[in-house]
Order: sequence, then structure tokens, then C-alpha cells
Amino acid sequence: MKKVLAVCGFGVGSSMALKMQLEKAFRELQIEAEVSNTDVESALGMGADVIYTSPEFAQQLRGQVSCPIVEIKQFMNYQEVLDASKSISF
Amino acid sequence: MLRDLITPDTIQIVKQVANWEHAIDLAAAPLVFSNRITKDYVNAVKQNIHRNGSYLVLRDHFALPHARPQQGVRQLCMSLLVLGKPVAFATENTPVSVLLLLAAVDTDTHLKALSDLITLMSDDALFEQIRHATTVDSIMRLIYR
Repeated sequence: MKKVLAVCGFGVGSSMALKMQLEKAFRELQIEAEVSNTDVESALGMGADVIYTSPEFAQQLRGQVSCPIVEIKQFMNYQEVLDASKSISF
Repeated sequence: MLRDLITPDTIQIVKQVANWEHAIDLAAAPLVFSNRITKDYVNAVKQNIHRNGSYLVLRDHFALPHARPQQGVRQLCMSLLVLGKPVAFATENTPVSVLLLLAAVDTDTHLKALSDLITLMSDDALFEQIRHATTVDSIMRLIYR
């Protein structure tokens, strides 16, 4: 089971929306993954296989985590989340 | 529960606003007035938008402005602001017509209500109806169908 993190500023709102779209996308793509949501600081120590976040937070995380970072502009845009997840290799 | 959070006194429909900061002030007003959040929280929300850009715009025309629970939330609450004319939001000037201001007290108490709302707002047809609603009653009916 792959560990996926949906990351936003505080881990209370936006990352929750992203997590919901990711779970839907992984179901459609038949990818087995456990999705959690968290804030940008906590994400650093959580050891994920892939991190999904906004371009701004991706910039903050880059260089500080070793896993791939997927940038999503609109967290509730299912098509964007789905398309981004198609090209990701776990 | 969503029903306890989105109520007629926290739903507003406004023709237009001067800018996105004005929209945040308006969305926050009923929550500040009823002492559920402090003015510090409103400022923290604006700072978050200034600092972190447009990530709070979750889909076309929909934003979820919020800050940290510790920045001035006295009680879990939300408010909904619908704008007749979209406002350019944050650094990328993304047009936003519906704002859901979230004031959470921790990372999980609000999750059920928020996920219900996100499910509603993800429905394109329903979202269009909410976005173009002209009365608080009609928004209540759309949310609690």
C-alpha cells in the first residue's frame, strides 16, 4: 500500500478537499494507496511515497523531501487530479 | 453537523465587492459579530492568502479561505458568501464567486461537515445553482435538498 500525502498550509481544510479527490482518482485508476492530509510542516517528517500539493507549497517542500511532489492548482478539480495521477509511477 | 454550521444567519448574497479582502471581511462579519471568531482570525486568513497564493481557490469560482485554529477561533463555525459579480482572488487574480469561510477548532471536528460541503460544491450543476442563487432561502434549499 502506497502512502500518499495531500498537503496544504494548515492541514484543516484544503488538503481535506484534495484528499477526497485523490481517493476518487485512485479508485478510478485502481491504484492502491492510503491518502492522508496534513500541513506543510508536518509533511516533512511523514515519509510519504508521493506528495500532492499546490505549486506554492511544492516550492517550499522541494529539496526537503525525497519523494516525488505532484503540483495541483485546484484541489477540487477532479480532472486535474486524475490527469496528474495517471502519469505518476509508484 | 452541516445543518448546525450553515444557517441563514451565516449565508450572505452580495452583488459585488471592492476586492478579495473586502469579500473576506464580509464573509467574516457574522462570525465576528456573534463572537465565534476574533478579528485576529480574519487578519490571519488574509495573511494566509497573501503569503500562500491562490491554493484556497479549490475549483473555478469557489474558495475556502481559512487560517489556523489557534489564530482566533472561539467556536467551530463557517459562513457562505455568494457574489453576484466574481472577485479577482489573490496573486493570480482567479475569479471567485462563492466563498466558504472556515473556522476550525482542531484538525477533525469539522471534517464531516466540510466533506459534505465539498461533495456538494463538487457537483457542477448544483454549484452553478448555488453560485447564481439570489436568495438565502434558495441556497438553504440547495444545500439541504
